[in-house]
Amino acid sequence: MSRLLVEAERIKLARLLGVPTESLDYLESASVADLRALRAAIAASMVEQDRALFGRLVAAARLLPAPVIALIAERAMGPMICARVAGLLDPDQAVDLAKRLSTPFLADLCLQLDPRSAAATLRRMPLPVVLAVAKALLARGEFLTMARFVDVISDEAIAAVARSMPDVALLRVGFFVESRERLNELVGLFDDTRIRAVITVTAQEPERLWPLALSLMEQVGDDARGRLARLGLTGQERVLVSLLETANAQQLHEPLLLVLRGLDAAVLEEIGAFPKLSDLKLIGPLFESALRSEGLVYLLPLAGALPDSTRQGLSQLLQRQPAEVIQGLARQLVQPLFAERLRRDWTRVRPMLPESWLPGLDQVVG
Amino acid sequence: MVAGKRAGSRGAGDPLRTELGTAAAELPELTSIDAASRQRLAEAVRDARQRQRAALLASAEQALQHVPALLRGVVRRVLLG
Repeated sequence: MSRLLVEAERIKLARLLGVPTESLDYLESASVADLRALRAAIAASMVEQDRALFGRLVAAARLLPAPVIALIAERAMGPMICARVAGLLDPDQAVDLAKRLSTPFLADLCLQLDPRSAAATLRRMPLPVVLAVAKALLARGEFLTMARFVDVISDEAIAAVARSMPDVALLRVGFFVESRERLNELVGLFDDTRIRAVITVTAQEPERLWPLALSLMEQVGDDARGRLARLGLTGQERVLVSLLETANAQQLHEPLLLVLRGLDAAVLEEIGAFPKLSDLKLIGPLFESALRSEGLVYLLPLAGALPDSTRQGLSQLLQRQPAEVIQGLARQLVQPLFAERLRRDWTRVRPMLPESWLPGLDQVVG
Repeated sequence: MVAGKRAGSRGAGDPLRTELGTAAAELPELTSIDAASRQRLAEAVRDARQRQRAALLASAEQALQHVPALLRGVVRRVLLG
């Protein structure tokens, strides 16, 4: 998961430095936080170095009529210089200029622009311009670039752009959004139908899209995560099966458990009753991972809804765990939440637990 | 490349911080980026800044060709000092 985020940061850094992404391979083990901080510092230094020259460009621009500036911008300055100057222009002048520039040029400029440096301008940008540039970026597959603008453009513009985007593109852009707060707000902008559609489309290309979707769900807050999980998984056996298969193949159980924790017991019971979840090969690795990460408590309602034969298989799996994992379970047992959930599902969960644990657990459950 | 020597990213001798100048003031420790990588980054930043400077000067000169003749002198003085 973090590997994908590091890759995204390397792409952004490479763009800023004007080098191929592969030339930054030596940063593949760097943390996302360090790379983000580094990118911000480099962007600031690049403006700082030529601040005087940029300032003179802005002063010269004030002397010329807008059509001439637009002509110069496209024919002489190029997108990189214009991107650096954009944040120094008066926002009204910058918007007037943007309306005169070609869409392909504005799209090129967006690749180079630090959106935070031109936030005031971007917030005033007319919707038709935003939509046209977004369409051009989308056609180029520039999801990462689009995501960088999410922090600064208005909710109205985001909603309008989102309406014009395919579901899968929305997911790809969402993956790259950096601000967790903004991501939460974005989830709130979409109705249930759209969210269900975006999660459903993930199952059509599971190997590539589930890691993105899980990463996105990891980053949002508990409420938004719960809503995404409920809408995406309720009544969606095919979606859940593809999610489990991908989690098993790519070792994504940790984020999957976090997502499942966002579901209330009734939904977990419902999905636990999906016929395909009786397959121990499909569901077993999730329970093993939950036991290792002390997250078994959250799966109890789901376990309770599984057929007896599957619970017995899970029991054998749990008994084979090493001693330290069993000790982890013991630590969970003293948590009030665990006891409460265990009590609720005890009659169904009891048969899947090792015989030797039962006397002690019977006492916990009371 | 990132594993290995990690100390010194805040030190005065760190080439990356030196290259970034005042922009490095808010930079955290960068514990996940080792000294060799910071050296390579410093070089990449230096190259990028040189390319930016060259592009800026070239485009300023080229921009003057598009300025109406009546305004060219004034704009040149503002632009190039």
